[in-house]
Amino acid sequence: MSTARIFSAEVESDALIVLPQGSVSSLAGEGVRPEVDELLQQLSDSGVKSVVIDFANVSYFGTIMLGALHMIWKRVRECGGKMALCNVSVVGCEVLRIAGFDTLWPICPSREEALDSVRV
Amino acid sequence: MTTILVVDDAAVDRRLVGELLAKDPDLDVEFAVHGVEALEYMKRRLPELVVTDLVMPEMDGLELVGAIRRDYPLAPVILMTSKGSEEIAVKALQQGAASYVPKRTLARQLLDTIHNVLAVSARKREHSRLMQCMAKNECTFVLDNDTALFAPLVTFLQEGVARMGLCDEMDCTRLGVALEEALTNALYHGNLEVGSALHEDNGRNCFALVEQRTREAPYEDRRIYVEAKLSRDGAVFVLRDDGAGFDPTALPDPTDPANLERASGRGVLLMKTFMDEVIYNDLGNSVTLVKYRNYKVNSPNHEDS
Repeated sequence: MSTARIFSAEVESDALIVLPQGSVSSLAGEGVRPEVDELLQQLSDSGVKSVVIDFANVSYFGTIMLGALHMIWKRVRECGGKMALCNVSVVGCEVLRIAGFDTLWPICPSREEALDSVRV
Repeated sequence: MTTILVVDDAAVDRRLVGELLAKDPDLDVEFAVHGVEALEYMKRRLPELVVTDLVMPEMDGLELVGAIRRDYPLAPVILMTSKGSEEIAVKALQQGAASYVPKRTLARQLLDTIHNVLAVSARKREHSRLMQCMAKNECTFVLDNDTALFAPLVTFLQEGVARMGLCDEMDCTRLGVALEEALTNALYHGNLEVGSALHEDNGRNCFALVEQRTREAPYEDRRIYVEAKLSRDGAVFVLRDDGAGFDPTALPDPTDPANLERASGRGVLLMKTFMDEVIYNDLGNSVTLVKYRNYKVNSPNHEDS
């Protein structure tokens, strides 16, 4: 596990599982970037291509989180991997839909289903 | 009489709890054999407190706690835990159960725990009633350019809205998203004058710029002003920054697929979707967010926070 403040991550079933946590809703923009960079480095080091973002610990989020998701997704796409989200709250799903991001990645009810969806 | 609903699929445990509670003549004890039956009972008559087993058919204690928390937030729930149900008990407590008593210590602890929880519950109901009498609540904050203050401020404002019963829990969450978008806009776009590139992949230099400007005139001297006016009709929040302002009509349409990968406009779109009204001043450095009351508090079982 990383020691990051906002995101923690670990490899599970050939995918990097990213767990946003804490006060993600008002992420300090300047604080997100180093953490995303750390995640991307962890993705490179791990040798896996796909990412599952598990929102089990987050009740809602805004555009800064969307920006972070987009940065992660760009790297995943470059690597030829897949990305899926899981355990997203009702309002989290609304935020994704309003931003048009609900079409970019599968939004799964459980981590297991998200892992299934990113298996290449 | 204070009505206690006991939910347990084991007849022997229901009988045991019934006998224990019969020691208090002020308690009226009713029974259900699982969560579904408990909720059916609660539709007809609302008990002051629910005591429930965790492992049951049809609907278990965890699901029951979730349903009660959602539909009857002022009705407290006490869990009866047995060996092997610790994990589910922790989840139930996280979901809002008031307390728990191990089944092996029911005889010693259950009645005291019920009295304690009822006392707390009575205070919450009185507080909730008082808050429903509040006609107006206004406050003003002047914030430094410090994102660490955003979450506590938004929580404070959400709690104020919830206390006055202006909207339900879900709408309070949506309100939180809108307020945080307005605050981050006021900081990054307003006071620090860094653009949406902050959220984009090519925005690495923007982060250095943010760091620099938070310690540099004139940016460091700028403030974010937040006025909240809560009344029985709804909530009005005015957020103003000391920046140069912007033209909200010039924002790209973030719903256009061509703009999907651009950060511009998403925050304003979220605000407009989640609030009833979003109004910018002519300069574009002040936004007024309005949420009208949509949640009538008619029942004493709607909680205050």
